[in-house]
Amino acid sequence: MSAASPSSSSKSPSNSTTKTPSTPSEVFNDILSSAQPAPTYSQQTWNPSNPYFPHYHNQNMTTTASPPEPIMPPTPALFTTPPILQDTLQTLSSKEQLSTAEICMKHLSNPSDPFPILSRRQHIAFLESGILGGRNGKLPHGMVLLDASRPWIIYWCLQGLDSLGVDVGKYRERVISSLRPLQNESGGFGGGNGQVSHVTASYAAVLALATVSRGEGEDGEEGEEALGIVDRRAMFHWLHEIKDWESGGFRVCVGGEEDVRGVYCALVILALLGLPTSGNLVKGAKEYLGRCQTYEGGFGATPNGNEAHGGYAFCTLAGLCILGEPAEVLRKHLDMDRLVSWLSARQYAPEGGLSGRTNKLVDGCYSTWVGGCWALIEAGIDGPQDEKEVALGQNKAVGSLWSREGLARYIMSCCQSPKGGLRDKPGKNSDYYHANYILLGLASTQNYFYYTPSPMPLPSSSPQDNESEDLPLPLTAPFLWRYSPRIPSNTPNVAEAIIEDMPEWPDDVEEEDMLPGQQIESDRLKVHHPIFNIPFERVGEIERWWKEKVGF
Amino acid sequence: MNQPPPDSYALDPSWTDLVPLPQDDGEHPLAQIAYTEEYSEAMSYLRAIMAKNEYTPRVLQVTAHIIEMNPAHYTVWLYRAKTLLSLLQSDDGAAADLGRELRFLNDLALRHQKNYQIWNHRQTVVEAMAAAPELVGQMVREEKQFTNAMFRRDGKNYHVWSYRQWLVRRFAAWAGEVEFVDGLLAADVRNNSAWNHRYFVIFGQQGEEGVGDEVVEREVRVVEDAVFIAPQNASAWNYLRGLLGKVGRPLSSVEGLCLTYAPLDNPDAITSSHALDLLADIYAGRKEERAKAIKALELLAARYDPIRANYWNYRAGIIKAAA
Repeated sequence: MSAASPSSSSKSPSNSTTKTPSTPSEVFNDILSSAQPAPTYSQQTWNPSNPYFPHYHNQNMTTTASPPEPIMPPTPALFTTPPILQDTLQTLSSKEQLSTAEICMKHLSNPSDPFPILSRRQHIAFLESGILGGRNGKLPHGMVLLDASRPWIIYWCLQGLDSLGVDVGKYRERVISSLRPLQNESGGFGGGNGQVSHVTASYAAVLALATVSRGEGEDGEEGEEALGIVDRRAMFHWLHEIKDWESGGFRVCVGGEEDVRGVYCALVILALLGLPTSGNLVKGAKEYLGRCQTYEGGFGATPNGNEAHGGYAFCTLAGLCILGEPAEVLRKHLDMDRLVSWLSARQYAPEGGLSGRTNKLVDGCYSTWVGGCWALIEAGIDGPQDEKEVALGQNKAVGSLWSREGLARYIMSCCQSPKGGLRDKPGKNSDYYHANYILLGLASTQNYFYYTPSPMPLPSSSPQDNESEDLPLPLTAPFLWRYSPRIPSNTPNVAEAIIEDMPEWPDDVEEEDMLPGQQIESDRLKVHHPIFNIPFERVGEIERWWKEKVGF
Repeated sequence: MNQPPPDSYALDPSWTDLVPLPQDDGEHPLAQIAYTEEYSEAMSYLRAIMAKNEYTPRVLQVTAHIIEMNPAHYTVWLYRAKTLLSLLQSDDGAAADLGRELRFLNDLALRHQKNYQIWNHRQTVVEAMAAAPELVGQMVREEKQFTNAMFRRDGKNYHVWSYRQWLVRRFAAWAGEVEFVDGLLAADVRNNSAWNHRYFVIFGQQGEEGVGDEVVEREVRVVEDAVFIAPQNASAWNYLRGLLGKVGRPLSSVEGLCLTYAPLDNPDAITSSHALDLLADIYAGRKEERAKAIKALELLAARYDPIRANYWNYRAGIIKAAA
């Protein structure tokens, strides 16, 4: 579907309502409709991550013969003016905040480009350089600081490339040969060859292997699953070694520190590899995660009183959602009201971006660590949704509790480095970590993730729920997520998304071959899984893979 | 300090007994790093020494050398810690100079602010030093001084705060912590890490009897003073909510304070969105005043905090549904 063609007319319900604008996008609509004489448009045709309005072209198309020029609405005042409430007292925190807001406003209100498109080609080149290196095929020696994080570099780049529409399956053999020497006989992966097994390195290695599709084998059959190189039995035993039976948590390595990263990474490994959870491996994990909630409502690194922090928030929420149905496990273990309040307070205006802690600055990477929490929270509030009802836009949902538009604007205007790649904020250099987590965050603004009813009762929701008992294998909850490009709005029965049937990014199409208006579609990213942060369609494939296994 | 690294391990007589172990990066590896010769050589000698399970003073030399080039190398840190502890138990105990180790860490920490491993290692060293009880007092004082120096560079460094909290709890070193927080807040009342530490200290050291009324009242006054100079400071208001919730006092006990900064009958005079937020919760709890709660939330959505309009509307929706 091309946005410039009449066939792209919105299939969203057209029951537009007239009311006083109250949400930013409504205010935005008002500004636009007052600035442009005609036509008016309604909220359901707002694409949260793109300023172009396909329906606007459509309406033009019905009256004019020539293809219309894309019309860029001006940036809403919310993103171009300082907040209305500001203290007169200045301290280091407020000075840093002010100067960040000022530079962001400049980017956000750029009159010649109020909502830049995604520089897809440049970002692809940037991420490819991360795995393929420079002319000598290697990363510069300054990257030695990531010598204990090589699985991470591979994961960040592969996942970022997949989001951008690149077929990363072509790297399958090289991913396997790169990660195999990092696996230790005693289980788990180190950050490099000969390094001690570490839970974050193991997590990143598993995710990197999980990003590459099975493809086709030599005989035309389905290819080998890359995750097959993981010694699942050894991994299982090693996870027992790092488990802290007293606290319920996991250490990051034998003799290492213990925090929620350890729990989240261990749970992702268990779930994606379909490992048994017998032997009490997940015992006490839910309670451990619940105890990390702080008086602010967010989550600290440990249950010992650390400050609430966005990175640990995602680990905690995703960890809990691996252990059970969001509506049940989140409500049971957390103070949801305080959590939603704290999470919501992470979004700032005028920047539109997200911060990791109270009175700290926005940073693009929180697009995932904080932005990614919203899908989990919304599922926790809404409960399981019926796929057919979602497809028809008839499901009952709380809608977005955050501003997708704000985050999309921050990402597009402030996080894209002119040199390619994505960055924390204007003035910073892009890096592979930020590129991946910003792209995942952008994809989250474009999709509605929801949880579907379990075909059979989940272990944790059975009436005989006994927290101290084993959960039988496998951890099924994270496999019940679905997504839709149709985003339920806060106005009942009105969906916000417009672009359905997004085509794949034409990987081999040169820019000059692109049709006018095709850049509209180029802002659409490939969908990831909201818990695992790997390509969505791979999760079902992986589940089938381990379900076919008998024992280890 | 640590013994300086040799110009070449291969040519240094104290290392020639080892056969260096190369690194296996696999075929056509992705994300391969172009190491300097210096780094490659040191790593290959460390691998050789680790393969022998050797815990001798020269381990300290080669690990210090690698850490200098890559302080995020957790495997190197772990092996160094194991070696230190092993040397302490051995006849060569003098080789494991823990004071020297802390000075080594100080220098690294000041240069690598975002490093995790330095602080985990520091805990190991300090635990080992605590084996001599007569030295603990002095050591804890010095550790606090060093973290203070770190906070002067970045008052919100997460790793340093985690370490400080571990230190305070591990050695029951609660004395002086509230005053320390007072000082940080006087410099920057918006330092949320300092507020978080305040909460940690106030409620961390309480015994079975809990926090007394006089402490609660003092803390409410601290918040009152803080919001007086900066009404839009989320840290102070979050602390207030946390404090009241922890001791079981109703939010309505601070209604007057909230109204000072968010007079609902005079919306133009509102100076704090956080006060409005609290008022919305206070009034939502009173059936006859729900309209006021809705009004506060509408002011937040439409005027004072519109980036969060969806959230404020959601809260208003819940109140309306309950009515």
